[in-house]
Amino acid sequence: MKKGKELSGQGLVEYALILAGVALAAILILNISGISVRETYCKAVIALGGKACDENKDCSFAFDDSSDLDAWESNSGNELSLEDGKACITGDGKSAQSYMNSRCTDSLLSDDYSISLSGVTVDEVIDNDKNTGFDTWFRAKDDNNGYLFIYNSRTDYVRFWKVVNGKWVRLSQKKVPANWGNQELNFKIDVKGDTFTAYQDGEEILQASDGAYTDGEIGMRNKPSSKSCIGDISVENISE
Amino acid sequence: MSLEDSPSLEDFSDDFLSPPPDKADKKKRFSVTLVALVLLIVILLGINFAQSGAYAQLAGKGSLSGYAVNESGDAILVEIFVFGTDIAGLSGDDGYFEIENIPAGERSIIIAYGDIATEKIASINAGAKTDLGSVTVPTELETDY
Repeated sequence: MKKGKELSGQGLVEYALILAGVALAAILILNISGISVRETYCKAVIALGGKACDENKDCSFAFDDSSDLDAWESNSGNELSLEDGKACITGDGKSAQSYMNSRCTDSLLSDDYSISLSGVTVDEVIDNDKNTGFDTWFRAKDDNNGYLFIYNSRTDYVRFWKVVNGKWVRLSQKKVPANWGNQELNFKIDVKGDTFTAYQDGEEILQASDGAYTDGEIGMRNKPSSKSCIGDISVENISE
Repeated sequence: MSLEDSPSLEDFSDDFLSPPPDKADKKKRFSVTLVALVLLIVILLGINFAQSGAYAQLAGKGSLSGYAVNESGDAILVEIFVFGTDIAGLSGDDGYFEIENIPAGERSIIIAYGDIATEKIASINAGAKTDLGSVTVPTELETDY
């Protein structure tokens, strides 16, 4: 009788050891292959008809309510302003202002995403030798480290930059029509793997490749001497 | 069912109880599974470690040198950063720079003049110095600050 009990207990320990080992191996495999456990879990939940992850997937700001401004943190302490259903940043003529959004990135299922910005307008508000234009941060650690897609309305260029410790490495550039400064712009930036593609009104305008930063926040940035306004921003994961 | 109708013990003499499992065989199968699992975990941990910063530290450190020049070929004073680390340095007025204690491996080197930089990929070998030679750093690039 005593021997029988010992055999039963030993069997449980054996099964527990194997289960723990399989779990550890699975975690290590996911870790090594770079697959997000959360992403995998959420995909499974969605496939089974669940909505918990689906609800968090969307990250959009229509800027028709002041609560849409809460997620954006400024590097200068200034706040975004709401004007006619748009979020606006007004430059001081000295330095650019960045507004980072950590909440948006946290809710995304992966680091491959598409940023859509509609109704973007840029106006020169201070007449000096500083730049005017609107930029978009992506995969940024902070406003000194990450990638930038920029539109410079003073020089009529769009560019992709990699920023490291506040030092700018140019990845690609393209001259754009001078009349962009007088119209509403609708940008889309696809961030997929190490390839970044920018579109304006659905037309591809610029591409760059770099693998330094694999994750991070999104953000918007106004150049020193301009006032930039944005109608809507939405960020969605790019489906495979 | 009355006691008289109940089957006798003899009725179950052949197959009432299946023969007890071979304990030695069961133990052997468990041992093989466990060893295989442990081996898999050790291999995965090894891969994980090889990808970590700690491995880079153990793999050794090397150094890097070079000369920074502008578009005209004149020596310039630059800042040097090793991407993904806290390692940084400055060149001399003659443009020469040397950075030590860089973890071995393929490293992205950011060489900056003012706020504009260029990037070089350098292969750092433990105990050796990698010479980047003459590096042209843009000084007249249009900025987007």
